[in-house]
Amino acid sequence: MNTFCFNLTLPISKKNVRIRELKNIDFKNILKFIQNNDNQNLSVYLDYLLSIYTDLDFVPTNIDKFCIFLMLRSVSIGNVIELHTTKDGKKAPIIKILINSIIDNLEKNLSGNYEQILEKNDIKVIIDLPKSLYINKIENIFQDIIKEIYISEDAIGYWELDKVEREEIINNLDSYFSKEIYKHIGKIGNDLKHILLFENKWNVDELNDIVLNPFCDILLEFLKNLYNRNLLNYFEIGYVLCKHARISLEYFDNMIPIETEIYISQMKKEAKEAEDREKHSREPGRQSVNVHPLNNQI
Amino acid sequence: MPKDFKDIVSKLKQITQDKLNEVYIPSSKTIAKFVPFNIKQQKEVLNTISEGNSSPVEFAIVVLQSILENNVDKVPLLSIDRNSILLQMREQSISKTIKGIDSEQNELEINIRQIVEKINGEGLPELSKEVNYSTIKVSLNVPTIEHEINVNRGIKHLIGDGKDEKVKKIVGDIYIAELTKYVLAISVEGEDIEFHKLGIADKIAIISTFNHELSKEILDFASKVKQYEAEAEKITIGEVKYKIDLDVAFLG
Repeated sequence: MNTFCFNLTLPISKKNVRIRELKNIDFKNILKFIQNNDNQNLSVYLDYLLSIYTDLDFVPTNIDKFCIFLMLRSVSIGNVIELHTTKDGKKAPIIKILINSIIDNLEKNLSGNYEQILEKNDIKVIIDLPKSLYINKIENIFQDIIKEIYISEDAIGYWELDKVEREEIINNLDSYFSKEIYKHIGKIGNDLKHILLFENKWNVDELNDIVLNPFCDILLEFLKNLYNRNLLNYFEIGYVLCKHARISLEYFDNMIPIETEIYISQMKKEAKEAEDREKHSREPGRQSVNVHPLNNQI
Repeated sequence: MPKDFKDIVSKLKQITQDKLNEVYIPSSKTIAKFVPFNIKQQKEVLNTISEGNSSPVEFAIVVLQSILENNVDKVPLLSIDRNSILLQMREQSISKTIKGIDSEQNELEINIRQIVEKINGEGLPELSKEVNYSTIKVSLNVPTIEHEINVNRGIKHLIGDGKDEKVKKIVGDIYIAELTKYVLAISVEGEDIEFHKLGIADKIAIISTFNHELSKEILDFASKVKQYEAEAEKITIGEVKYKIDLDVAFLG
Protein backbone atom coordinates (compact mmCIF):
# COMPACT_ATOMS: atom_id res chain seq x y z
CA MET A 1 0.00 0.00 0.00
CA ASN A 2 2.28 2.77 -1.21
CA THR A 3 -0.39 5.40 -0.79
CA PHE A 4 -2.14 7.13 2.08
CA CYS A 5 -4.00 4.69 4.28
CA PHE A 6 -5.47 4.50 7.76
CA ASN A 7 -5.85 1.76 10.38
CA LEU A 8 -8.88 0.23 11.97
CA THR A 9 -9.09 -2.50 14.58
CA LEU A 10 -12.03 -4.67 13.63
CA PRO A 11 -14.49 -5.12 16.53
CA ILE A 12 -15.19 -8.82 15.93
CA SER A 13 -11.93 -10.34 14.69
CA LYS A 14 -9.88 -7.82 16.75
CA LYS A 15 -7.45 -7.74 13.83
CA ASN A 16 -5.90 -4.56 12.53
CA VAL A 17 -6.70 -3.62 8.94
CA ARG A 18 -5.15 -0.93 6.74
CA ILE A 19 -7.61 0.90 4.51
CA ARG A 20 -6.98 3.21 1.53
CA GLU A 21 -9.20 6.16 0.71
CA LEU A 22 -12.16 5.64 -1.62
CA LYS A 23 -11.81 7.03 -5.14
CA ASN A 24 -14.57 8.85 -7.03
CA ILE A 25 -14.75 6.13 -9.69
CA ASP A 26 -15.71 3.55 -7.06
CA PHE A 27 -17.94 5.96 -5.20
CA LYS A 28 -19.89 6.55 -8.43
CA ASN A 29 -20.29 2.79 -8.91
CA ILE A 30 -21.61 2.46 -5.35
CA LEU A 31 -24.13 5.20 -6.11
CA LYS A 32 -25.26 3.40 -9.26
CA PHE A 33 -25.97 0.20 -7.31
CA ILE A 34 -27.77 2.20 -4.62
CA GLN A 35 -29.94 4.01 -7.14
CA ASN A 36 -30.74 0.71 -8.87
CA ASN A 37 -31.69 -0.67 -5.46
CA ASP A 38 -29.61 -3.70 -6.36
CA ASN A 39 -28.55 -4.96 -2.93
CA GLN A 40 -27.22 -8.27 -4.18
CA ASN A 41 -24.75 -6.76 -6.64
CA LEU A 42 -23.93 -3.89 -4.29
CA SER A 43 -22.85 -6.46 -1.73
CA VAL A 44 -20.68 -8.26 -4.31
CA TYR A 45 -19.15 -4.91 -5.33
CA LEU A 46 -18.43 -3.96 -1.71
CA ASP A 47 -16.63 -7.29 -1.28
CA TYR A 48 -14.57 -6.45 -4.37
CA LEU A 49 -13.73 -3.05 -2.85
CA LEU A 50 -12.52 -4.78 0.31
CA SER A 51 -10.05 -6.70 -1.83
CA ILE A 52 -8.60 -3.55 -3.43
CA TYR A 53 -8.89 -1.02 -0.60
CA THR A 54 -7.71 -3.12 2.34
CA ASP A 55 -4.94 -5.54 3.23
CA LEU A 56 -7.37 -8.14 4.63
CA ASP A 57 -6.13 -11.70 4.30
CA PHE A 58 -9.30 -13.38 5.60
CA VAL A 59 -13.06 -13.10 5.02
CA PRO A 60 -14.38 -10.88 7.81
CA THR A 61 -17.84 -11.09 9.40
CA ASN A 62 -20.46 -8.68 8.13
CA ILE A 63 -20.14 -6.50 11.26
CA ASP A 64 -16.41 -6.10 10.61
CA LYS A 65 -17.16 -5.29 6.94
CA PHE A 66 -19.77 -2.79 8.09
CA CYS A 67 -17.18 -1.04 10.30
CA ILE A 68 -14.67 -0.89 7.43
CA PHE A 69 -17.25 0.85 5.22
CA LEU A 70 -18.23 3.20 8.05
CA MET A 71 -14.57 4.17 8.42
CA LEU A 72 -14.14 4.48 4.65
CA ARG A 73 -17.18 6.78 4.57
CA SER A 74 -15.87 8.83 7.45
CA VAL A 75 -12.40 9.37 5.98
CA SER A 76 -13.21 9.62 2.28
CA ILE A 77 -16.58 11.37 2.23
CA GLY A 78 -16.94 12.97 5.64
CA ASN A 79 -17.42 12.05 9.27
CA VAL A 80 -20.57 14.08 9.86
CA ILE A 81 -24.07 13.08 8.81
CA GLU A 82 -26.65 15.84 8.88
CA LEU A 83 -30.26 14.82 9.33
CA HIS A 84 -33.00 17.27 8.35
CA THR A 85 -36.08 16.23 10.29
CA THR A 86 -39.32 17.46 11.81
CA LYS A 87 -40.63 17.23 15.34
CA ASP A 88 -44.36 17.37 16.03
CA GLY A 89 -44.83 18.30 12.39
CA LYS A 90 -42.50 21.32 12.59
CA LYS A 91 -39.00 21.68 11.20
CA ALA A 92 -36.50 20.51 13.81
CA PRO A 93 -32.90 21.70 14.24
CA ILE A 94 -30.45 19.77 12.06
CA ILE A 95 -29.19 16.65 13.81
CA LYS A 96 -25.48 15.97 13.38
CA ILE A 97 -24.15 12.45 13.88
CA LEU A 98 -20.49 11.52 13.85
CA ILE A 99 -19.77 8.25 12.06
CA ASN A 100 -16.75 7.68 14.29
CA SER A 101 -19.06 7.63 17.28
CA ILE A 102 -20.99 4.71 15.71
CA ILE A 103 -17.72 2.80 15.27
CA ASP A 104 -16.67 3.63 18.85
CA ASN A 105 -20.02 2.40 20.13
CA LEU A 106 -19.63 -0.91 18.27
CA GLU A 107 -16.04 -1.36 19.50
CA LYS A 108 -17.16 -0.69 23.06
CA ASN A 109 -20.18 -3.01 23.05
CA LEU A 110 -19.18 -5.98 20.91
CA SER A 111 -17.52 -8.77 22.81
CA GLY A 112 -15.78 -10.16 19.75
CA ASN A 113 -16.57 -13.78 20.42
CA TYR A 114 -19.71 -15.11 18.83
CA GLU A 115 -18.22 -18.38 17.66
CA GLN A 116 -19.90 -21.65 18.61
CA ILE A 117 -18.92 -25.27 18.04
CA LEU A 118 -21.63 -27.77 17.12
CA GLU A 119 -20.87 -31.46 17.16
CA LYS A 120 -22.81 -34.53 16.21
CA ASN A 121 -21.43 -37.95 15.43
CA ASP A 122 -18.14 -37.38 13.64
CA ILE A 123 -19.04 -33.96 12.29
CA LYS A 124 -18.03 -30.68 13.89
CA VAL A 125 -19.41 -27.39 12.57
CA ILE A 126 -18.01 -24.06 13.72
CA ILE A 127 -20.45 -21.21 13.34
CA ASP A 128 -19.96 -17.49 13.77
CA LEU A 129 -21.58 -14.27 12.60
CA PRO A 130 -22.58 -14.15 8.92
CA LYS A 131 -20.07 -12.83 6.42
CA SER A 132 -22.32 -11.30 3.81
CA LEU A 133 -23.86 -7.85 4.01
CA TYR A 134 -26.67 -9.05 1.71
CA ILE A 135 -29.06 -11.36 3.50
CA ASN A 136 -32.32 -11.96 1.72
CA LYS A 137 -33.49 -15.25 3.23
CA ILE A 138 -32.87 -16.78 6.60
CA GLU A 139 -31.95 -20.08 4.96
CA ASN A 140 -29.14 -18.31 3.03
CA ILE A 141 -27.57 -17.39 6.35
CA PHE A 142 -26.70 -21.06 6.80
CA GLN A 143 -24.08 -20.93 4.08
CA ASP A 144 -22.71 -17.67 5.40
CA ILE A 145 -22.67 -18.40 9.09
CA ILE A 146 -20.49 -21.52 8.89
CA LYS A 147 -16.82 -20.85 9.52
CA GLU A 148 -15.46 -24.38 9.08
CA ILE A 149 -16.64 -27.97 9.03
CA TYR A 150 -14.59 -30.86 10.36
CA ILE A 151 -15.21 -34.46 9.36
CA SER A 152 -13.45 -36.86 11.72
CA GLU A 153 -11.26 -33.96 12.97
CA ASP A 154 -10.20 -32.95 9.43
CA ALA A 155 -11.12 -29.44 8.27
CA ILE A 156 -12.78 -29.59 4.85
CA GLY A 157 -11.61 -26.08 3.88
CA TYR A 158 -15.20 -24.82 3.72
CA TRP A 159 -14.35 -21.35 2.40
CA GLU A 160 -12.11 -22.81 -0.29
CA LEU A 161 -15.18 -24.45 -1.86
CA ASP A 162 -17.36 -22.51 -4.28
CA LYS A 163 -20.89 -21.38 -3.43
CA VAL A 164 -22.62 -24.35 -5.09
CA GLU A 165 -20.34 -26.81 -3.34
CA ARG A 166 -20.86 -25.14 0.04
CA GLU A 167 -24.62 -25.40 -0.50
CA GLU A 168 -24.33 -29.10 -1.33
CA ILE A 169 -22.32 -29.73 1.84
CA ILE A 170 -24.91 -27.92 3.98
CA ASN A 171 -27.77 -29.82 2.35
CA ASN A 172 -26.18 -33.06 3.46
CA LEU A 173 -25.77 -32.03 7.09
CA ASP A 174 -28.07 -33.55 9.68
CA SER A 175 -31.05 -31.35 10.55
CA TYR A 176 -29.72 -31.21 14.12
CA PHE A 177 -27.26 -28.55 12.90
CA SER A 178 -29.95 -26.30 11.50
CA LYS A 179 -31.88 -26.40 14.76
CA GLU A 180 -28.71 -25.38 16.60
CA ILE A 181 -27.96 -22.67 14.03
CA TYR A 182 -31.44 -21.20 14.60
CA LYS A 183 -30.77 -21.21 18.34
CA HIS A 184 -27.42 -19.47 17.74
CA ILE A 185 -29.12 -16.80 15.61
CA GLY A 186 -31.74 -16.24 18.30
CA LYS A 187 -29.15 -15.99 21.06
CA ILE A 188 -26.89 -13.55 19.20
CA GLY A 189 -29.89 -11.48 18.13
CA ASN A 190 -30.84 -11.26 21.80
CA ASP A 191 -27.28 -10.43 22.91
CA LEU A 192 -26.96 -7.61 20.37
CA LYS A 193 -30.38 -6.03 20.68
CA HIS A 194 -29.13 -3.42 23.17
CA ILE A 195 -26.60 -2.09 20.62
CA LEU A 196 -28.11 0.74 18.63
CA LEU A 197 -26.71 2.01 15.33
CA PHE A 198 -28.94 5.02 15.69
CA GLU A 199 -30.88 6.24 18.71
CA ASN A 200 -33.64 8.75 18.18
CA LYS A 201 -32.90 10.63 21.39
CA TRP A 202 -34.31 13.83 19.87
CA ASN A 203 -37.74 12.19 19.39
CA VAL A 204 -38.00 13.51 15.85
CA ASP A 205 -40.93 12.35 13.74
CA GLU A 206 -39.53 10.29 10.90
CA LEU A 207 -36.84 8.25 12.62
CA ASN A 208 -36.84 5.14 14.76
CA ASP A 209 -34.07 3.52 16.77
CA ILE A 210 -31.99 1.17 14.62
CA VAL A 211 -30.79 -1.98 16.36
CA LEU A 212 -27.65 -3.81 15.25
CA ASN A 213 -28.76 -7.05 13.60
CA PRO A 214 -26.25 -9.02 11.52
CA PHE A 215 -28.93 -11.48 10.34
CA CYS A 216 -30.89 -9.13 8.08
CA ASP A 217 -30.19 -6.40 5.55
CA ILE A 218 -30.08 -3.60 8.13
CA LEU A 219 -26.29 -3.19 7.89
CA LEU A 220 -26.39 -2.83 4.11
CA GLU A 221 -29.40 -0.50 4.21
CA PHE A 222 -27.67 1.65 6.83
CA LEU A 223 -24.55 1.91 4.64
CA LYS A 224 -26.69 2.77 1.61
CA ASN A 225 -28.17 5.70 3.52
CA LEU A 226 -24.74 6.91 4.56
CA TYR A 227 -23.24 6.72 1.07
CA ASN A 228 -26.23 7.89 -0.94
CA ARG A 229 -25.89 11.08 -2.96
CA ASN A 230 -27.52 12.45 -6.09
CA LEU A 231 -25.64 10.61 -8.85
CA LEU A 232 -26.50 13.18 -11.53
CA ASN A 233 -25.08 15.98 -9.36
CA TYR A 234 -21.93 13.97 -8.99
CA PHE A 235 -21.52 13.75 -12.77
CA GLU A 236 -22.16 17.50 -12.98
CA ILE A 237 -19.46 18.14 -10.38
CA GLY A 238 -17.05 16.07 -12.50
CA TYR A 239 -17.99 18.10 -15.57
CA VAL A 240 -17.53 21.43 -13.79
CA LEU A 241 -14.14 20.43 -12.41
CA CYS A 242 -12.95 19.11 -15.76
CA LYS A 243 -14.11 22.24 -17.56
CA HIS A 244 -13.21 25.01 -15.12
CA ALA A 245 -10.35 23.53 -13.08
CA ARG A 246 -8.87 22.00 -16.23
CA ILE A 247 -8.43 18.54 -14.72
CA SER A 248 -8.88 15.34 -16.71
CA LEU A 249 -11.78 12.97 -16.13
CA GLU A 250 -9.25 10.33 -15.16
CA TYR A 251 -7.81 12.68 -12.53
CA PHE A 252 -11.33 13.38 -11.24
CA ASP A 253 -12.11 9.64 -11.03
CA ASN A 254 -8.96 9.09 -8.98
CA MET A 255 -9.75 11.92 -6.55
CA ILE A 256 -11.23 11.23 -3.13
CA PRO A 257 -14.82 12.48 -2.68
CA ILE A 258 -13.84 14.68 0.26
CA GLU A 259 -11.07 16.29 -1.88
CA THR A 260 -13.64 16.90 -4.59
CA GLU A 261 -15.78 18.74 -2.05
CA ILE A 262 -12.78 20.91 -1.09
CA TYR A 263 -12.07 21.76 -4.76
CA ILE A 264 -15.71 22.59 -5.38
CA SER A 265 -16.03 24.75 -2.28
CA GLN A 266 -12.79 26.56 -3.18
CA MET A 267 -14.12 27.17 -6.70
CA LYS A 268 -17.40 28.46 -5.28
CA LYS A 269 -15.49 30.77 -2.93
CA GLU A 270 -13.36 32.14 -5.77
CA ALA A 271 -16.40 32.59 -8.01
CA LYS A 272 -18.17 34.47 -5.21
CA GLU A 273 -15.14 36.70 -4.65
CA ALA A 274 -14.92 37.41 -8.37
CA GLU A 275 -18.63 38.21 -8.46
CA ASP A 276 -18.29 40.54 -5.46
CA ARG A 277 -15.33 42.34 -7.05
CA GLU A 278 -17.28 42.72 -10.27
CA LYS A 279 -20.33 44.08 -8.40
CA HIS A 280 -18.12 46.42 -6.39
CA SER A 281 -16.41 47.82 -9.48
CA ARG A 282 -19.78 48.55 -11.15
CA GLU A 283 -21.10 50.66 -8.28
CA PRO A 284 -21.67 54.28 -9.52
CA GLY A 285 -19.01 56.84 -8.59
CA ARG A 286 -16.42 54.18 -8.00
CA GLN A 287 -13.26 54.04 -9.95
CA SER A 288 -10.97 51.16 -9.91
CA VAL A 289 -7.83 51.77 -7.93
CA ASN A 290 -4.64 49.89 -7.80
CA VAL A 291 -4.03 48.30 -4.46
CA HIS A 292 -0.45 47.78 -3.42
CA PRO A 293 0.71 45.57 -0.63
CA LEU A 294 1.44 47.40 2.60
CA ASN A 295 4.50 45.41 3.31
CA ASN A 296 7.57 47.37 4.18
CA GLN A 297 5.54 50.56 4.72
CA ILE A 298 6.02 52.41 7.96
CA MET B 1 -7.76 -33.34 5.03
CA PRO B 2 -10.19 -34.42 2.28
CA LYS B 3 -10.02 -31.53 -0.17
CA ASP B 4 -11.84 -33.30 -2.95
CA PHE B 5 -15.44 -32.10 -2.94
CA LYS B 6 -16.98 -35.44 -3.94
CA ASP B 7 -14.94 -37.11 -1.22
CA ILE B 8 -16.28 -34.65 1.37
CA VAL B 9 -19.90 -35.22 0.32
CA SER B 10 -19.54 -38.98 0.31
CA LYS B 11 -17.91 -38.92 3.78
CA LEU B 12 -20.75 -36.75 5.08
CA LYS B 13 -23.34 -39.12 3.64
CA GLN B 14 -21.49 -42.10 5.05
CA ILE B 15 -21.43 -40.65 8.57
CA THR B 16 -25.17 -39.95 8.36
CA GLN B 17 -25.91 -43.45 7.05
CA ASP B 18 -23.94 -44.94 9.92
CA LYS B 19 -26.17 -43.31 12.52
CA LEU B 20 -29.68 -44.32 11.49
CA ASN B 21 -32.81 -43.68 13.51
CA GLU B 22 -34.69 -46.76 14.58
CA VAL B 23 -38.37 -46.00 14.35
CA TYR B 24 -41.41 -48.02 15.42
CA ILE B 25 -44.03 -48.25 12.65
CA PRO B 26 -47.52 -48.46 14.20
CA SER B 27 -49.34 -49.92 11.16
CA SER B 28 -47.00 -52.89 10.74
CA LYS B 29 -45.80 -53.03 14.39
CA THR B 30 -42.21 -53.29 13.18
CA ILE B 31 -39.01 -51.31 13.69
CA ALA B 32 -37.63 -49.59 10.57
CA LYS B 33 -34.41 -47.72 9.97
CA PHE B 34 -34.48 -44.11 8.79
CA VAL B 35 -31.77 -41.68 7.73
CA PRO B 36 -32.17 -38.52 9.86
CA PHE B 37 -33.65 -35.51 8.02
CA ASN B 38 -31.00 -33.36 6.44
CA ILE B 39 -30.89 -29.58 6.03
CA LYS B 40 -32.00 -29.78 2.37
CA GLN B 41 -35.22 -31.50 3.42
CA GLN B 42 -35.68 -28.98 6.19
CA LYS B 43 -35.29 -26.11 3.72
CA GLU B 44 -37.88 -27.71 1.45
CA VAL B 45 -40.27 -27.83 4.41
CA LEU B 46 -39.60 -24.15 5.14
CA ASN B 47 -40.16 -23.22 1.50
CA THR B 48 -43.72 -24.60 1.66
CA ILE B 49 -44.66 -21.50 3.70
CA SER B 50 -44.51 -19.42 0.52
CA GLU B 51 -47.00 -21.63 -1.36
CA GLY B 52 -50.06 -19.53 -0.44
CA ASN B 53 -53.33 -21.43 -0.16
CA SER B 54 -51.74 -24.70 -1.22
CA SER B 55 -49.11 -24.37 1.53
CA PRO B 56 -50.60 -27.04 3.90
CA VAL B 57 -50.93 -29.49 0.99
CA GLU B 58 -47.40 -28.79 -0.20
CA PHE B 59 -46.15 -29.19 3.38
CA ALA B 60 -47.81 -32.62 3.57
CA ILE B 61 -46.28 -33.64 0.21
CA VAL B 62 -42.76 -32.56 1.18
CA VAL B 63 -42.90 -34.22 4.59
CA LEU B 64 -44.25 -37.50 3.21
CA GLN B 65 -41.65 -37.50 0.43
CA SER B 66 -38.87 -36.97 2.95
CA ILE B 67 -40.17 -39.90 5.00
CA LEU B 68 -40.16 -42.11 1.90
CA GLU B 69 -36.65 -40.99 0.87
CA ASN B 70 -35.22 -41.67 4.32
CA ASN B 71 -36.90 -45.05 4.73
CA VAL B 72 -33.73 -47.13 4.27
CA ASP B 73 -35.33 -50.57 4.25
CA LYS B 74 -38.27 -49.38 2.13
CA VAL B 75 -40.72 -50.76 4.71
CA PRO B 76 -44.37 -50.30 3.58
CA LEU B 77 -45.76 -47.20 5.27
CA LEU B 78 -49.31 -45.94 5.68
CA SER B 79 -50.43 -42.36 6.12
CA ILE B 80 -51.31 -43.05 9.78
CA ASP B 81 -47.63 -43.81 10.48
CA ARG B 82 -46.60 -40.29 9.56
CA ASN B 83 -46.96 -38.52 12.91
CA SER B 84 -45.35 -41.28 14.91
CA ILE B 85 -42.39 -41.38 12.49
CA LEU B 86 -41.97 -37.59 12.62
CA LEU B 87 -42.03 -37.51 16.41
CA GLN B 88 -39.57 -40.38 16.75
CA MET B 89 -37.18 -38.89 14.18
CA ARG B 90 -37.25 -35.55 15.92
CA GLU B 91 -36.73 -37.22 19.28
CA GLN B 92 -33.66 -39.07 18.02
CA SER B 93 -32.14 -36.35 15.80
CA ILE B 94 -32.97 -32.95 17.18
CA SER B 95 -34.33 -32.86 20.70
CA LYS B 96 -36.11 -35.08 23.16
CA THR B 97 -38.59 -32.37 24.10
CA ILE B 98 -41.11 -30.21 22.30
CA LYS B 99 -43.20 -27.20 23.31
CA GLY B 100 -46.86 -27.83 24.02
CA ILE B 101 -49.46 -25.08 24.49
CA ASP B 102 -52.54 -25.34 26.70
CA SER B 103 -55.89 -23.62 26.09
CA GLU B 104 -54.64 -20.50 27.89
CA GLN B 105 -51.51 -20.33 25.72
CA ASN B 106 -49.22 -21.48 28.54
CA GLU B 107 -46.17 -23.30 27.22
CA LEU B 108 -44.70 -26.48 28.62
CA GLU B 109 -41.70 -28.57 27.55
CA ILE B 110 -43.13 -32.00 26.81
CA ASN B 111 -41.12 -35.16 26.57
CA ILE B 112 -41.65 -36.51 23.03
CA ARG B 113 -41.40 -40.08 24.34
CA GLN B 114 -44.65 -39.55 26.27
CA ILE B 115 -46.52 -38.70 23.06
CA VAL B 116 -44.87 -41.47 21.05
CA GLU B 117 -45.80 -44.08 23.64
CA LYS B 118 -49.33 -42.73 23.76
CA ILE B 119 -49.94 -42.91 20.00
CA ASN B 120 -48.06 -46.17 19.51
CA GLY B 121 -50.10 -47.74 22.30
CA GLU B 122 -53.33 -46.28 20.95
CA GLY B 123 -55.64 -48.77 19.24
CA LEU B 124 -55.23 -48.41 15.48
CA PRO B 125 -58.33 -47.66 13.46
CA GLU B 126 -59.57 -50.25 10.96
CA LEU B 127 -56.98 -50.41 8.17
CA SER B 128 -59.45 -51.68 5.55
CA LYS B 129 -63.17 -52.15 5.18
CA GLU B 130 -65.71 -53.03 2.54
CA VAL B 131 -68.97 -51.12 2.30
CA ASN B 132 -71.96 -52.00 0.15
CA TYR B 133 -75.01 -50.22 -1.08
CA SER B 134 -77.32 -51.93 -3.48
CA THR B 135 -75.09 -53.21 -6.28
CA ILE B 136 -72.20 -50.90 -5.42
CA LYS B 137 -69.28 -52.32 -3.47
CA VAL B 138 -66.56 -49.98 -2.21
CA SER B 139 -63.25 -51.16 -0.75
CA LEU B 140 -61.80 -48.70 1.71
CA ASN B 141 -58.34 -48.68 3.17
CA VAL B 142 -55.93 -46.41 4.95
CA PRO B 143 -53.82 -44.94 2.13
CA THR B 144 -50.17 -45.73 1.74
CA ILE B 145 -47.84 -42.74 1.94
CA GLU B 146 -47.22 -42.95 -1.83
CA HIS B 147 -50.96 -42.83 -2.49
CA GLU B 148 -51.45 -39.91 -0.11
CA ILE B 149 -48.70 -38.00 -1.96
CA ASN B 150 -50.39 -38.63 -5.32
CA VAL B 151 -53.79 -37.46 -4.12
CA ASN B 152 -52.22 -34.42 -2.47
CA ARG B 153 -50.56 -33.53 -5.78
CA GLY B 154 -54.01 -33.75 -7.39
CA ILE B 155 -55.44 -31.48 -4.68
CA LYS B 156 -52.59 -29.02 -5.21
CA HIS B 157 -53.41 -29.01 -8.91
CA LEU B 158 -57.07 -28.30 -8.08
CA ILE B 159 -56.11 -25.37 -5.90
CA GLY B 160 -53.93 -24.15 -8.76
CA ASP B 161 -52.43 -20.72 -8.35
CA GLY B 162 -53.86 -20.39 -4.88
CA LYS B 163 -56.10 -17.38 -5.56
CA ASP B 164 -58.63 -17.04 -2.73
CA GLU B 165 -61.66 -16.90 -5.04
CA LYS B 166 -60.73 -20.11 -6.76
CA VAL B 167 -60.21 -21.93 -3.48
CA LYS B 168 -63.66 -20.86 -2.28
CA LYS B 169 -65.23 -22.31 -5.44
CA ILE B 170 -63.45 -25.66 -5.23
CA VAL B 171 -63.60 -26.23 -1.50
CA GLY B 172 -66.24 -28.97 -2.04
CA ASP B 173 -64.00 -30.72 -4.54
CA ILE B 174 -61.05 -30.58 -2.13
CA TYR B 175 -63.22 -32.17 0.55
CA ILE B 176 -64.20 -35.04 -1.78
CA ALA B 177 -60.61 -35.37 -2.99
CA GLU B 178 -59.63 -36.01 0.66
CA LEU B 179 -62.17 -38.84 0.80
CA THR B 180 -60.83 -40.42 -2.40
CA LYS B 181 -57.60 -41.17 -0.50
CA TYR B 182 -59.44 -43.90 1.38
CA VAL B 183 -61.12 -45.56 -1.59
CA LEU B 184 -59.14 -48.43 -3.01
CA ALA B 185 -61.60 -50.03 -5.41
CA ILE B 186 -65.21 -49.82 -6.51
CA SER B 187 -67.34 -52.35 -8.25
CA VAL B 188 -70.77 -51.73 -9.67
CA GLU B 189 -73.00 -54.71 -10.51
CA GLY B 190 -69.97 -56.96 -10.20
CA GLU B 191 -67.90 -54.91 -12.62
CA ASP B 192 -64.68 -53.47 -11.19
CA ILE B 193 -63.73 -49.87 -11.76
CA GLU B 194 -59.96 -49.39 -11.64
CA PHE B 195 -60.42 -46.51 -9.29
CA HIS B 196 -56.75 -46.11 -8.35
CA LYS B 197 -55.85 -45.58 -12.00
CA LEU B 198 -58.21 -42.62 -12.46
CA GLY B 199 -57.23 -38.96 -12.34
CA ILE B 200 -58.33 -36.79 -9.44
CA ALA B 201 -61.18 -35.13 -11.38
CA ASP B 202 -62.69 -38.51 -12.38
CA LYS B 203 -62.35 -39.82 -8.84
CA ILE B 204 -64.18 -36.76 -7.51
CA ALA B 205 -66.86 -37.18 -10.16
CA ILE B 206 -67.49 -40.80 -9.14
CA ILE B 207 -67.55 -40.17 -5.38
CA SER B 208 -69.87 -37.22 -5.97
CA THR B 209 -72.49 -39.60 -7.39
CA PHE B 210 -72.59 -41.66 -4.18
CA ASN B 211 -75.70 -41.33 -2.09
CA HIS B 212 -75.71 -40.13 1.50
CA GLU B 213 -75.39 -43.59 3.09
CA LEU B 214 -72.37 -44.61 1.04
CA SER B 215 -70.69 -41.22 1.50
CA LYS B 216 -71.29 -41.46 5.25
CA GLU B 217 -69.59 -44.87 5.41
CA ILE B 218 -66.51 -43.46 3.70
CA LEU B 219 -66.58 -40.38 5.90
CA ASP B 220 -66.84 -42.47 9.09
CA PHE B 221 -63.87 -44.58 8.02
CA ALA B 222 -61.82 -41.49 7.18
CA SER B 223 -62.84 -39.73 10.41
CA LYS B 224 -61.55 -42.59 12.56
CA VAL B 225 -58.20 -42.44 10.77
CA LYS B 226 -58.05 -38.66 11.17
CA GLN B 227 -58.97 -38.97 14.82
CA TYR B 228 -56.10 -41.40 15.35
CA GLU B 229 -53.72 -39.03 13.52
CA ALA B 230 -54.90 -36.08 15.61
CA GLU B 231 -53.96 -37.92 18.82
CA ALA B 232 -50.31 -37.21 17.99
CA GLU B 233 -51.00 -33.52 18.47
CA LYS B 234 -52.63 -33.79 21.89
CA ILE B 235 -51.42 -34.81 25.30
CA THR B 236 -52.86 -34.51 28.79
CA ILE B 237 -50.45 -33.88 31.64
CA GLY B 238 -52.12 -33.93 35.03
CA GLU B 239 -55.44 -32.40 34.19
CA VAL B 240 -54.17 -29.96 31.60
CA LYS B 241 -54.56 -30.68 27.89
CA TYR B 242 -51.70 -29.53 25.68
CA LYS B 243 -51.63 -29.09 21.92
CA ILE B 244 -48.55 -29.82 19.85
CA ASP B 245 -48.30 -28.60 16.26
CA LEU B 246 -46.56 -30.98 13.87
CA ASP B 247 -46.12 -28.13 11.41
CA VAL B 248 -43.35 -26.24 9.62
CA ALA B 249 -41.93 -24.98 12.92
CA PHE B 250 -41.78 -28.53 14.26
CA LEU B 251 -39.61 -29.66 11.35
CA GLY B 252 -38.06 -26.39 10.25
